[in-house]
Amino acid sequence: MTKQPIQNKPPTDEDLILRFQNDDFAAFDLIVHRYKDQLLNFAYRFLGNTEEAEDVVQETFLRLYRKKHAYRQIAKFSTWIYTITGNLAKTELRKRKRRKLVSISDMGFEEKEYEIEDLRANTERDADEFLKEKIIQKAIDELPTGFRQVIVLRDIQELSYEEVGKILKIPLGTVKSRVNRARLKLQAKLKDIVDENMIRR
Amino acid sequence: MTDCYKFEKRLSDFLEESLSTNEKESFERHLGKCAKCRKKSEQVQVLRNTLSALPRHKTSPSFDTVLRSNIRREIINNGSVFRFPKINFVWQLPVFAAAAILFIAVGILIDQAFIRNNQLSPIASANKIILEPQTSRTLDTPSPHKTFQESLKITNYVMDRSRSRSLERRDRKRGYNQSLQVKGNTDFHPNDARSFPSQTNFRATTASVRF
Repeated sequence: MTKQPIQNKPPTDEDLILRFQNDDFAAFDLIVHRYKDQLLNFAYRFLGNTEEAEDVVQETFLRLYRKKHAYRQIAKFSTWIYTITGNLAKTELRKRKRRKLVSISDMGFEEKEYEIEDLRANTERDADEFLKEKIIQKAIDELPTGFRQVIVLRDIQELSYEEVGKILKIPLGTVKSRVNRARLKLQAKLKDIVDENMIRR
Repeated sequence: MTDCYKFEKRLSDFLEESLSTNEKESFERHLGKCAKCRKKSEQVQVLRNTLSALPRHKTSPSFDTVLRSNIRREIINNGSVFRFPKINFVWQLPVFAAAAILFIAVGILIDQAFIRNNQLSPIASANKIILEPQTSRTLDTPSPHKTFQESLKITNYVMDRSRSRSLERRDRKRGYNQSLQVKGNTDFHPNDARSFPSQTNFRATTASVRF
């Protein structure tokens, strides 16, 4: 696909963005391919809504396309793009809060995606897992924004504390204590599921 | 002694093994005694595993197509024929602002230097052209225009007078006309702003535009 000479190592993100800054659109495609799913997962876990998450990721890449020169080599590319998605997701959350003033019902288990995905859950175990995921997601949704951000980045996206700090622009100590408190909060909310998992283990 | 509160506060550090050996030993001792904390640490560990094992959501199959059409729309809206030079305003805007401030500051300093040396500043010398025929001074007399403000006042006064005949007539009626037309020592000296006729309209706006 790419015109790059065969190399032992695949190009780094920084290589790709540099190429894209020099108008290599194949590099843009590669970046999209590399990041679209992990950014979607991040946005989904943060927002708890697939459609909104997809919009946010679309907008992220559109911004990348529009403002490719805003990226400077000093930052890690992944940090930079995660920051964009995180900010857009937060904006989306604020927009939703404004919408919520009008309708309160679109929360929890009655989402339409439930019905669509339900077809997949044909065995009892799948259904069980699916329901469990929904409960966990709901518990994450109920966390305050600051806690939700850190726990999604650290425990779901599995980024390092340093990276989380850079993405959210908060000091390392704050990230650590926030992650710890978020875990304790979530553990208190999900006691039943966690205990069940402990037995299974 | 490690109490439960302390343990809870450092629980993640304990689980992720980023404690010092001393702290670790003291926490382990606490765990040996406290069943509640033991359970909590196990629960948080399971929670961590559960979270990292959550299914990864993926973009929809139409994602790339939608992105392409979004980009196409973007190009059409922005017009790809002419593109503005890529200016990163984040860092260039302050630079422009600083340059503008510097430019103004240097201008003021130069003007001040002229005034301090008792010479006519570029602005004042522009005023001089108008003032000279009316206030006859010998070349060696120091400039009467001590400050820019004063020279501005004089300029405006003269301009107003020359522009408006009705004003002049009014002034003449009041006996001010001699002060500017009579040469040599008179009761009016341009250096002394207080000797200005107080009822005349000073227009501060025109001066800078004129020169």
